[in-house]
Amino acid sequence: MKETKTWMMLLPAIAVIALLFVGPLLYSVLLSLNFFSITSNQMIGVQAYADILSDHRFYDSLVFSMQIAAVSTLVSIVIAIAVSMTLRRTFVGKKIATFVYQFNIPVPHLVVAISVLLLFSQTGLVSRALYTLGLVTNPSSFPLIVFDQNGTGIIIAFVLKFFPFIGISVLSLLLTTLNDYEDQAATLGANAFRRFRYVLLPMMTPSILFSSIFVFAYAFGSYEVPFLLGSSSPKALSLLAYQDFTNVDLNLRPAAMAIANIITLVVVGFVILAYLQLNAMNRRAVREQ
Amino acid sequence: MTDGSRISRRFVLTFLYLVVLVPLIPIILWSFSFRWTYPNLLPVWSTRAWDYVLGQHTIVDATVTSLVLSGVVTLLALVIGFSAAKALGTREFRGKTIVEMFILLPALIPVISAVMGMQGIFTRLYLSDTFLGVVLAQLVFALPYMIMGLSAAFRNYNPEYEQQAYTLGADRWKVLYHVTLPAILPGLVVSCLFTFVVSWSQYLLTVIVGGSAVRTLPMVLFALMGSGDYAIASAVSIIFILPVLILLAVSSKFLIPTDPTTGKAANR
Repeated sequence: MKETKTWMMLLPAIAVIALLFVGPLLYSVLLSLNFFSITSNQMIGVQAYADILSDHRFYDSLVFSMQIAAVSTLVSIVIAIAVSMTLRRTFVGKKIATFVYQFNIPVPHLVVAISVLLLFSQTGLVSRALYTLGLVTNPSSFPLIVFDQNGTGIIIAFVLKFFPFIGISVLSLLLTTLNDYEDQAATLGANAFRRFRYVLLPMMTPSILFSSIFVFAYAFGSYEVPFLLGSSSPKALSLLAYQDFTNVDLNLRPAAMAIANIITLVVVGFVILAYLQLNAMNRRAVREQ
Repeated sequence: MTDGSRISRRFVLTFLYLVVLVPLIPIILWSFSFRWTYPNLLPVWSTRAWDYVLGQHTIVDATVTSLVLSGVVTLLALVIGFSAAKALGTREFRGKTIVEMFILLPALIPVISAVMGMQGIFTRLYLSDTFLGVVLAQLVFALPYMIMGLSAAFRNYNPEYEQQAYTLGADRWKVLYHVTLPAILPGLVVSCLFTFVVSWSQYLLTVIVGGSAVRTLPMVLFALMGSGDYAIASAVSIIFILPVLILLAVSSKFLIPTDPTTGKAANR
């Protein structure tokens, strides 16, 4: 009875997500297998996947998207830990610092990308400042940060958005539960490094892992940021998919869908790995208690 | 407090202020520029961009469209997500973790993964290139944020007060209005603002599902960046982050971890 009531309460949300999210995901699998061919000169089957997997552009994009997602997630984690460890102390201006810390969380990626472009392009504000200091003589002697092959500008924009997202949950953890454990470790004679390495870090890892899943998945599939800040090749995977999707040649649609499905697959695989890791950590924590 | 840790704090704080505040500088400067040629550090000042942005109906129209769209999406997400959030925040049941993961799916899996299939389905249902289609598309991507925010607000809520009100003869709507809503109001306001901003920032989803029928502010901003008019794009960017500033102002009271015994910001 009570169980039934609970599921009735959950039903509207579950129904909307099943119909409007899981539905389209399954539909794009059918489309990638060419189930609803418009031109009918292609057969139902895995042709689109075969085409993609034999195309070097796809591998370049896959590696590129993996790289920017992995690097921006890792850099964000390191910054998040450093800033949160600093902000947990009491000091003058802590309130403002905490406000500034969370400022970028709701700022749209699009605006952050525009900022990065206006700052770091070869005619950007940083390049102008260096010119004024005499360190740069013309725009092309400023290093290529935006539109470069390594996606440096993309990574900068992502890190600006991600480190507060990861860090705020770490900070609230540090301010509430973890303090007591650290005090105990200090009483037992552990120095600052050992307290961080053996007490604080293991206890913040689940929270960091949880937010990292979101951040990695976003960076891996993002469209806006690589569109504004990336070079024309290698393209981010999402740009490759959208390019095939909007191509006048409708025979490329299944390929676009196949790329989208591969993005889904990578993200879901990553989520499952992180989930298993979280579970294993929980079990270990329970065993140790 | 040792000197070493004071220096490292100063270093980290300087870094934090630099990386968050410096990116705002070029946007503000560009929005007041007439011309800003390399290698000048400052632009030739003018209010051209602001006159254009506030006077041109394309940008005003897009702002209104975005406001209405995200307002409708937020309200729908609130209505559809409310009971689910309450169940997740106040009840324990078998399969709860799975349900939470399922509801988080649209926040986890990138827009590009689902949006092309969605456009295919919506075309068959005559929903693509319509306002309703864009509302439905955005709803599903906004719902996880609404539900997760609200369920956090419900975690400190005791549903037994509702029973007391029922015993005193109140009906469902009276209980909702006089008991439930006041108890979770701060969390509800922040969740709504956050959901609004999530919808407000959507670009790709609106472009693919809405086609040319729905023209939102991020679409205008994208077009301006393509045309290379950084002055106007910067002015539009500033308008674009206004709801974000409101969200931050309202939520800074709630988001900063508070000491549960005093209600003041935890300071240790």
